[in-house]
Amino acid sequence: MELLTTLWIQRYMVVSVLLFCIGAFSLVFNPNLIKKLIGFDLMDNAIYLMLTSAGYIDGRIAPIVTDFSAAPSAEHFVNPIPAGLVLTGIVVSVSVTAFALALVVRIYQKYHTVYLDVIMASMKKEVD
Amino acid sequence: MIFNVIEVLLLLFLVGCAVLVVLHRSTMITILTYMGFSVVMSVIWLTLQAPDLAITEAAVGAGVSTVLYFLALRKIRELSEHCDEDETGKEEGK
Amino acid sequence: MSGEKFSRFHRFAAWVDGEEWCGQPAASPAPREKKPRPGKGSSLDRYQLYRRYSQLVGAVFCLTLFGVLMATVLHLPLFGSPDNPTNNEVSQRYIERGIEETGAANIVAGMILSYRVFDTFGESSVLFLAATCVTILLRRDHNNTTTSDLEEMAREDRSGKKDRDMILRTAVLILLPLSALVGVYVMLFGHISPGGGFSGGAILGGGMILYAQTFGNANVRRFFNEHMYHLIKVVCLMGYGLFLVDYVMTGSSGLPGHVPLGIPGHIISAGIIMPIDLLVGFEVTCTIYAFYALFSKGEL
Repeated sequence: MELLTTLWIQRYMVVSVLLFCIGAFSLVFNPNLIKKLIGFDLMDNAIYLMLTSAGYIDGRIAPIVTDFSAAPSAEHFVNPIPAGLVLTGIVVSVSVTAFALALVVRIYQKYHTVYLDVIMASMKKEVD
Repeated sequence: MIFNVIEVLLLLFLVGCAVLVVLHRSTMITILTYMGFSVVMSVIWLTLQAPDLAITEAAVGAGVSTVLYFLALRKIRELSEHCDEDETGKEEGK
Repeated sequence: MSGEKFSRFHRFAAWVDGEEWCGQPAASPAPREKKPRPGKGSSLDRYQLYRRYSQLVGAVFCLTLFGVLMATVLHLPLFGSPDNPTNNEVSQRYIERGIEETGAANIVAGMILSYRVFDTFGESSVLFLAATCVTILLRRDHNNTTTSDLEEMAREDRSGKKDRDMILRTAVLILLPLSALVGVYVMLFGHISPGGGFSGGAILGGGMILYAQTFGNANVRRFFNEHMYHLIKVVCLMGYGLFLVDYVMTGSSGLPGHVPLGIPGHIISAGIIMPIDLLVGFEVTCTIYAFYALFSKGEL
C-alpha cells in the first residue's frame, strides 16, 4: 500500500522512466534508422519530463511576476531552474534531430535502404 | 480530483503513444503518433506550470520536427522508384 | 578509387563530398540483391535469428533498465514537495532578486538570458553548427546530383505551378500574417510573458515553411535568398556575441551595468534580454527555414 502511494505521488517520474525505457528499446533494437531517431527523441522527452517534474511544487504558479508593487516572494512560484535547463535541451535536441536526419538521408543515398541490418550486410560485403 | 483524472489520462496517452511509436510498422504512422505525443507533452508542460516549455514544445516538437521527419521520409522514398515496392513488400512480409 | 589507396579519413571526406556515391556506381549496392529474401541460405537464417532474438534481448535489457530506474524512483524526493533539495537558495535568489537584477518579469527568461547568458550562447552556437552540418551533408552540387533528381524536381515545380489548390492558398494567406504576428509577438514579449527567442523563431520559421510549401521556393527567394540567409545568421550570432561580451565585461556578477533595466513589465525593459531575444529569434527562423529548404530541395 505504501509502495502504491509512493508510486502515485511519483507518477511523473514513473511515466518518464517508462518513456525512457520504451525509447531505449526503440533506439537499440529497431532496425529502421528513422524509428531509432524517434526513440531517441522519446528518451529526450522523458528526461525533460523528469527534470521539470523535479522543479514542480504543489499549489504554486509559473514563475512569471505580474504584481510589481512588492518584491516577489519565493513562496509563490515553482522552481524556474529546471524549466531553463529544459528550454536549452529542447533546442539542442532539435539540432541533433536535424543533423541525424541529414546523416540518414546520406546513408540512404549510399546504401538505398534505412534498415540497419541490411546496411551492415552491405558494409561487410564492401570490406571483403 | 477532476484535475488528477485529466493528468492521469494525459500521462497514459503519452505512454500509449510511445508504445505505438515503437510497435507500429509504418514509419508514416509512427511520425504522426510522435506529433500527437508532442502536442500532449506541451499540455503536460502547462499542468507542470512551465508555459515557456509549452510554447517551445508546441512550435518545435509538433511543428518543425514533424516537418523534418516527413521531408526526410519523402527524400528516402523518392530517390529511387523501385524502393517503394520494396518497402511495402518488406512490411507485408513481416 | 579503391579502398586500399585511401585512408579512412579520405573515404569519409569523399563520402561527405558525395564522390564515392557517384564515382563508383557499380560498387554501390543494388537494393534488390542486398535484401535478405526468404529461402536463400545462411544470410536469411542470421537475419531471422537477429529479428527473433533482438526483440527478446531488447525486452530483457529494457526490463532490467526499467527495474533499476524504478528502484531509483522510489528513493527520489517526493513530487511536488517544497522541501526538495532542488528548491534551494539558488532558485530562491533567482525569484526574489531576479526582477531587481535583470528587470525581466518572466523569471525563466531572466535566468537563461541574464544569469546564464553564456549557456544560451552555447545553445545558439549548437544550432548554428547543426545548420552548417546539414548544409555540408545535403547541399546539392555537381557531385551528388543525378539527372533523375533534376527531372524529379522539374516535374514537381511544374505540377506545383499547375494545380495550386485554391482553398490551400486562401487558408495560407489568412494564416501567414497571423503566424508572423504571433512569432514576432512571442519574440518581443519574451521577457514579460512566456516565450522567447527560440519559440518565436520556430513559429516564424513554421510560417515561412508554410509559405514555401504552398507558393514554391522561388517566391520565398524573392525576399530571402542565400545571401540574405548568411547575412542574417552571421549578423545575429555576432550581435549576440557582442552583447554577451559587453554584458559579461560590464554588467554581470553584481557590477553596475550601463544598460538601463527600465520599468519591469514594460516592453522596453530588462536591458539586453529583448534585443538578444530578437537576434536569437531571427537566427532560429533562418536555421529552420534552411533545414526545410535543404531537406526538400537541397538549396536555399
